[in-house]
Amino acid sequence: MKKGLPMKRYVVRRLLMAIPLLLAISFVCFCFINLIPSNPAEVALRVQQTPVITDEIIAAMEEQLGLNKPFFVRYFDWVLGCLHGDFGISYVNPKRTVAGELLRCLPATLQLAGTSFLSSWRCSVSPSASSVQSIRTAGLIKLCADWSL
Amino acid sequence: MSEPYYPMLTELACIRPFAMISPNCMINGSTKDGVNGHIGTGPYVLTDFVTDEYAVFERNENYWGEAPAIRKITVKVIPDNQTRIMALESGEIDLIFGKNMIDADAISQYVDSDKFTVGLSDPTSTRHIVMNTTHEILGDPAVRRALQHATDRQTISDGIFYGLEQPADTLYATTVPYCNVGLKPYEYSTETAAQLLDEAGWVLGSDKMRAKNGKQLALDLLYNSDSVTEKTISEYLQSEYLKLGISMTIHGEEEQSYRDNMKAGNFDMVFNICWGTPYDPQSSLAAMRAPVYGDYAAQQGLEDKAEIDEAITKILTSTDDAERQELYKSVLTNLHEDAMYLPLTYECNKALYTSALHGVHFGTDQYDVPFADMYFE
Repeated sequence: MKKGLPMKRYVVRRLLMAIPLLLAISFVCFCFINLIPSNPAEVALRVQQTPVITDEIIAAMEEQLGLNKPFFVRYFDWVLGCLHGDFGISYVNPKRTVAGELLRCLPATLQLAGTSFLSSWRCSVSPSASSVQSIRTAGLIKLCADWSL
Repeated sequence: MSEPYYPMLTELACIRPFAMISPNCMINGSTKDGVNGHIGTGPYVLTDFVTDEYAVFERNENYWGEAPAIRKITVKVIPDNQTRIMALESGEIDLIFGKNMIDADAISQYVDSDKFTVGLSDPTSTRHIVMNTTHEILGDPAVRRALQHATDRQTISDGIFYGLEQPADTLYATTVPYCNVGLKPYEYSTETAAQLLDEAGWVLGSDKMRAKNGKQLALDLLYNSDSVTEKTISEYLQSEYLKLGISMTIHGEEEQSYRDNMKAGNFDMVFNICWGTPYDPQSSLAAMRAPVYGDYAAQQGLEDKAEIDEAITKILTSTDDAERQELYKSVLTNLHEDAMYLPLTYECNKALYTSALHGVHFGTDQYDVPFADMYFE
């Protein structure tokens, strides 16, 4: 127990430190996205193939996307939404939510990443297997990798 | 509506981006939050779908017209060009249909095939270059006409599109409603082009480049860097114009930046594609009257801009077909003689399908796939 405490404290500290770091990264990303010269409302309308994009339609889209709000308000709206699991909607197809798209793609991503992880593990462990135990472990990993493939 | 609007029925019949829907399918009186059903009157019924994977359509047994021959159609989403062709080759799919579903290079390999058939529609839209009439060199109609004569559309059609996109003589093909108005094409002739430039004062110097009052005949062509085709055409035109003593720089920008520049009029010459059926000519001409695309900015140097805009407005509200035809003729003739649109080729809808499939043809709308007329032997 006594040995575990510093490690626990270390992990908790690292996790707490990750919060401001994630906020800082998200803010920098948000700033960069805002530097893109094209008007996002207009781009969304173009991507949705709206035939005639008038100033009125652009203004309506800006309102819909919340782009008419001040910069910091938009950022905090986005952060609050994220904390509630709402990552926004897809501007290519507003019927789809970003969270929904992530969930839809997650199984295939996990399958692909898991397979590649097991394959690389198998490749890296097998050559270094010198003891019987290692060979057994490598055999088990190989079996798992073969199944996953 | 406060005034008559003749394309109303055409627009109501469009299948995208807006379509008619039963009010019973709406959620809270709108489609903003999705729909609770897909009710239509067509020959097929959507029975199953997985987003971005497939959609299954089965024959509508209550269809009011003749029952289609094929009972069930599965539309698969295959994003990659080469994968689509491999799926067709392996028999996984029977038909690839659409304007940009198969590139010219790939489709040309199946032209003489027994196993597969290639189908090409009438022109759906026109690939062209817009010249900015507010530009100090391109503001001169003689220079614009010279460029029209200096462009070998046949070579572009044969060399880049393997003949699958036919050379375009006018902004709209003669098969487009109201557009068969007898316009005289600008014939490919480098001699005529050179003569026009000479007469306009752009004479060849000892460096084989043209200049006028010490200013070089230098232009810039903007293209969408996402389009390999536009880049290839740009490079070809650059080398061809150089032979006439015209220095043309070409530069590509990613799609959104390209479109921003286009709308703002930040270009000498820029690639564009007409809206296509069923929006041509009425909707694309109507859009020229406002800063929506590049046309508005590029037309500001035209002496007859006000006259053209007025005629377009009259066309849209006219209830007399003969009057509309006359007005269209006047607008299209003015734009053709102003020579600011450099037509290149006519895009068309393409189908590549197994030869066992029959009845494949193209609808009036470029997004219409007439499945109901298809059958297997």
